[in-house]
Amino acid sequence: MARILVVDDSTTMRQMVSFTLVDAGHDVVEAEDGNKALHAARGKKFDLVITDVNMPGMNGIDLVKCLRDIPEFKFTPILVLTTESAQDIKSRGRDAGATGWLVKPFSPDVLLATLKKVLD
Amino acid sequence: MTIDLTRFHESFFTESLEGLDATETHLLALESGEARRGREAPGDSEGSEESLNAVFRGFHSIKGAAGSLGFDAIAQFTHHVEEFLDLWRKGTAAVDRTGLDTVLACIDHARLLVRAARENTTEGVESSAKLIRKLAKLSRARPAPRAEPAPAEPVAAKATYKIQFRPGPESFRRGNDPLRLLKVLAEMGTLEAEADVTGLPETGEFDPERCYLAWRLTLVTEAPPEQVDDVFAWVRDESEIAIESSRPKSRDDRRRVDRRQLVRRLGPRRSEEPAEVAEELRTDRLHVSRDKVDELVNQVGELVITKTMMKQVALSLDAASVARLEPVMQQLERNTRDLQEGVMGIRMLPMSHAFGRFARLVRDTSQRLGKEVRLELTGGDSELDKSMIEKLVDPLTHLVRNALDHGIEPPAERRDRGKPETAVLSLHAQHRGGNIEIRVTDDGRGIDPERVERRAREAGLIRENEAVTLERATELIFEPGLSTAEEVNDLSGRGVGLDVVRKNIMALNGSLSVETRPGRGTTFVIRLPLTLAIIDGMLVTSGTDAYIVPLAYIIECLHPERSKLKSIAGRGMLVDVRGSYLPLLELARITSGSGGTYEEGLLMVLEAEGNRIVLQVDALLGQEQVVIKSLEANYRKVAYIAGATILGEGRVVLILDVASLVRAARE
Repeated sequence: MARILVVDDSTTMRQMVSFTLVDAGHDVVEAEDGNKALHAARGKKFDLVITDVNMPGMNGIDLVKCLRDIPEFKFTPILVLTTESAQDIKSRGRDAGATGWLVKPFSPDVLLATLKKVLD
Repeated sequence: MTIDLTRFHESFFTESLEGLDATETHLLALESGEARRGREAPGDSEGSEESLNAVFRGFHSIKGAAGSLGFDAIAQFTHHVEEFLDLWRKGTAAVDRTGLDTVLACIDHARLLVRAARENTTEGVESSAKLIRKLAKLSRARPAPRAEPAPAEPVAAKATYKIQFRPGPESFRRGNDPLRLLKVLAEMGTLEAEADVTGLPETGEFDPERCYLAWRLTLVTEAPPEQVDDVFAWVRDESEIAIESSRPKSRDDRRRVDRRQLVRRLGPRRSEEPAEVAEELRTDRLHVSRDKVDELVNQVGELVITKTMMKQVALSLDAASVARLEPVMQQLERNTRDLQEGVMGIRMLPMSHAFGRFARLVRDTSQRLGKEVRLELTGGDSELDKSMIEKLVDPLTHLVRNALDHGIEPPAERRDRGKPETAVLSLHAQHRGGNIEIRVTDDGRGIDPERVERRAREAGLIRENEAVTLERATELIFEPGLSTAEEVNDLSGRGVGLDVVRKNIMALNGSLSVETRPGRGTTFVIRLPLTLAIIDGMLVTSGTDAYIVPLAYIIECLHPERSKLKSIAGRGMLVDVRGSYLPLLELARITSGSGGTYEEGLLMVLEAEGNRIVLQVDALLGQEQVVIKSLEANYRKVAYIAGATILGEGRVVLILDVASLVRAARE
């Protein structure tokens, strides 16, 4: 069981992701934008962060940068949720220190398969 | 494993429709921002950029969720809109009127698609193409025909892959642990791994945060090359990777195809999935059916009554028991009150829910009328019962249209009068005591008493020689059949208007009044109780019975004087109230059939639907806030009675239906 932080401003997406994760036995904390995610992350330990890119307030790329500056998150896998049309977001995410990406739309099965690359 | 996606459908529908409303608001803000920039010097573009990003995000979110849930028609349509909006963001397409109109049409169409999906129909799906073509035309490029990708052919034979993998030294710092990737490969078939440790430094130089290892891997698997490739997708750029396979690589987009098919396969629903699991979800928002909330409100009402009854019973106990019961009763009292407030709070929504739609209405209407109007919304966070908000939308729409149509002058006329060409229409909501006050203000021409007088005379509403003051004019505009519009048009129509609006607001136990300054503008003020379930009432008695008269209808109370009473044959009694004769009703006669004496008791002047009557009661007992219980639902419809309530001491009293009393008295 892993502790996972899920960040997305879309309630539907957030619920889908967290439901899938909870259903697979993981412990999930939700946040609806970058600032709230940072707040939730401070002083806590997570095994994985999954974040949307395009969000009001602090976006996903800036969130990744901020998280990498927190010692607890130096090596934590961080996935960004992106879309097919956003090729440059993939590289921006990587430059910011993201571990990898997940292309939207994705099904719960794809999400769970991807987890193997980031969870022990 | 399979997850039932249908559980997310309702959340998706609700969120998408709300999102589209917000997107519309941002688009309109973008429009007014662009208009300002066009007029003035190109100044602060930050606000516009923010609005544009919000509009983009709106479609983007829907696209992402729709795709994941298998609503392909919505996903595809929003994808095209998003691509067009991206051109705006990049500045390669101009944000002009045609574009704005088209995107607005796309918002409408997306709403249609979402609603159709909710209703499980394919309405509107076919007409998506038309809008997509229009978007393509606007972006001056025909969209590349989207060839339906061929399904991936089944791969049966095993292939052997020889992989050289040297992860980048910074791999760990980005959260990528090469070992996990090897595990993923191992799950795809049989994997042999041979570590290359030649890159390891001397012990003293060893940095545990860096990756020094490399691997030679041999993988035997049925998986297609793309899937093997995909394992390294995140690390390809900073790692050295060489994959040799016994099979040639196929087209790049195969991977995408696979994913789409997965989504489609997941589409069909599994309905037997228990719903309780969803409770584990952590979320800050719940979508609950209205019936459940209403039921909760009812139950709390019952609880309040039970508590009151208990208090009554406690009074009959001996002193020792009362002393023991007292603190418990107080606790119960507090808990019940908190619970009641909390439950009522669930139904409360910010007024912005009602205000939101007016941005579009004002834009479209003023454009059609050739007027320039800026809409200002304030106090949108004031909360009001959801059912009240819904019932308020029609009257508010009417008042807003009325202001656009009759109040606000065309730009040329405004210029002549020395006013700015762009008129300001504002909607403002504010809590006052137990009420909410909504003000609809325009800086237009105001109410012109002469015009009202002319129309009122034509309609036979005033006497031949009666002069109409400004104050009288503000009353006359609420008369049925009066319209000051010079021409009939399809917006406000003629005469069907303010009288109906007032009637609708009175039906919510509210009031509608108007303040105007000729030439400067008009303000309509709606006052409403915060919830339909609780009203302010005056407790009155008639014989041994008590009744509640809703405070909103009471104009004044008078002591009766024999000299003011006039009897008219066949028409009953009239009372002279400062020069106007109002019909007299005796509460005792209505409720028990036996009349009292005129000199006794008190007279209440009541007004409903613009008409006044005098009601004679025995005494006023005081003002009370009462919870309305429907008599119809619990008993049956009773003439002149709007409902019942239970007083603090547990007594049931009836609430008078003033509007029907007034109608009866005038007939």
